[in-house]
Amino acid sequence: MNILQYEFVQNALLAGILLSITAGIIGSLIVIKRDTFLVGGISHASFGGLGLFYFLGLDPILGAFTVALASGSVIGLSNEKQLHTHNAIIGVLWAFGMSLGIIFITITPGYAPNLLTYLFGDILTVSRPDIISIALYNIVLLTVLFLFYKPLIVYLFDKEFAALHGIPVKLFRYFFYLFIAIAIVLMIRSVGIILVLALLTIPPLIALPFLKRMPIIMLWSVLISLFIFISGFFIAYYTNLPTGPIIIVTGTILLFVTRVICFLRDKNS
Amino acid sequence: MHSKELIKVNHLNFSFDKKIEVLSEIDLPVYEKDYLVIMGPNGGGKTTLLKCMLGLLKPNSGYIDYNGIKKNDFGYVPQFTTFDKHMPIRVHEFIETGLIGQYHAFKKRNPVDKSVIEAQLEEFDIKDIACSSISEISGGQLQRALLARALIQNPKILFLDEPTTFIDSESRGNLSEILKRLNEKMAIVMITHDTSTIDDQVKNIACVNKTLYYHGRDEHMEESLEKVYGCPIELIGHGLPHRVLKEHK
Repeated sequence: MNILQYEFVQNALLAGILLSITAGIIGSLIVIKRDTFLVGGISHASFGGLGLFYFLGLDPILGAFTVALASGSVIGLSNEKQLHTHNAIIGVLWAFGMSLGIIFITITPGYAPNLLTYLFGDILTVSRPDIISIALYNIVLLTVLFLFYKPLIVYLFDKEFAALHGIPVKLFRYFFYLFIAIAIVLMIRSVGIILVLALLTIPPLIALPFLKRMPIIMLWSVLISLFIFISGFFIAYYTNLPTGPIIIVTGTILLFVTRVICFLRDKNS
Repeated sequence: MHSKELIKVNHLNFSFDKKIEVLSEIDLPVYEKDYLVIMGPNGGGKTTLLKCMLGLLKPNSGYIDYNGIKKNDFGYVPQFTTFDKHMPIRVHEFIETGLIGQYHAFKKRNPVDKSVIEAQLEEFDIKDIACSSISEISGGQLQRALLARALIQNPKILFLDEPTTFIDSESRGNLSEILKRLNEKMAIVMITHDTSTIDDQVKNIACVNKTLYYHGRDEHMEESLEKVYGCPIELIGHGLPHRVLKEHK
């Protein structure tokens, strides 16, 4: 029987395709701005919110969403310098969020869910509403990008020059991290906290040494993300291994291979 | 006799976090077609003063008159350390970002006039690296790209923050030539901590170390920079034209 006939497989693949678009674009921005650590902070802190809401009997993903939005806002409202001097705080947030989440889930009476589900997600349980929310997010993201691409590039590259020419730098900063926070939560739901980081960082890291322009880097990151996701998905299916970790391992191997190619290319030139 | 004042800084005070006083009671004019050099030791407040003039920092007290000068009349060449050199952006796109002041997200966009960018590439002799990434080019080339970006909107005043720090002596010579040419059309305000690079075309000099001492063009040549640097400074020159400034009072 063809596996594509199952509705959960169709949903999983559709979610994967849509999330690749999200991950490729947001990931390129994060990697180029060197904000991976911040993103790790936001995604792990949101695990605390997830645990708390689970304990309170509310929808856990709503808890993750609340904490991600809150931490995204705090980062967006603080200035770059403060963030650099208090960089270690993000490490604390990272550990604290995880611990809090685990404690809350443990003390919740009744059947304890498998923690691995939240860490690595479960793409096979993705529902239609999940897919619709990711699609809506992508539409908004692409529209905003289309309208504000040029000022965004100036903002990312040279904040002072941007401010001098009337770009509302603080507003840009706030929305930048807000978009990142929402993307993280959408991804946690289907691929889990750890895969969020992998999908955001691996594709742009593969693309960067070969390309010079931002839009092309974004496009290739989307395609690479798609490739990693789909190949990982089918490998996992046929080997009967968990999907999330297999996707990460596939991506990391691809990253390693391309870096070796890069190294050989630079050595010969 | 001085020409029209483009910018006038009046009684400006600035402190970070209301604690550390960086600038105190600064008065400074910038004239039409002025060539003003602001110098002083590191940490003396030169860049802060420049950023106040550009409107990037808000002074605690005092005010700045802009006589008909708008933000888009400013050209700004920042220090190399203020922007991200590893951003994947090519030289011609980088120069195009100088037009960002004219950008409207919701208005119908005219395609960017490529000939304007071409002209800048030609003018600053960076045409052959137009498609190179910013991270791949030399310090001197980056400096010229920064100038091209700053000048693409035909500013009335060009601000440069330590433009000679990261470039070699040949590029310094080129920069000096370029600035001389530009000064025929616009005012130049340049920051430097390096007193050896003051050009003979410089018209006015301001020494900043929290307070400011202004040395106008018509000043008698006297005394040294001792007070502003806090130590006696000896200038060594072999038969070069030189300029000695009046003692700060």
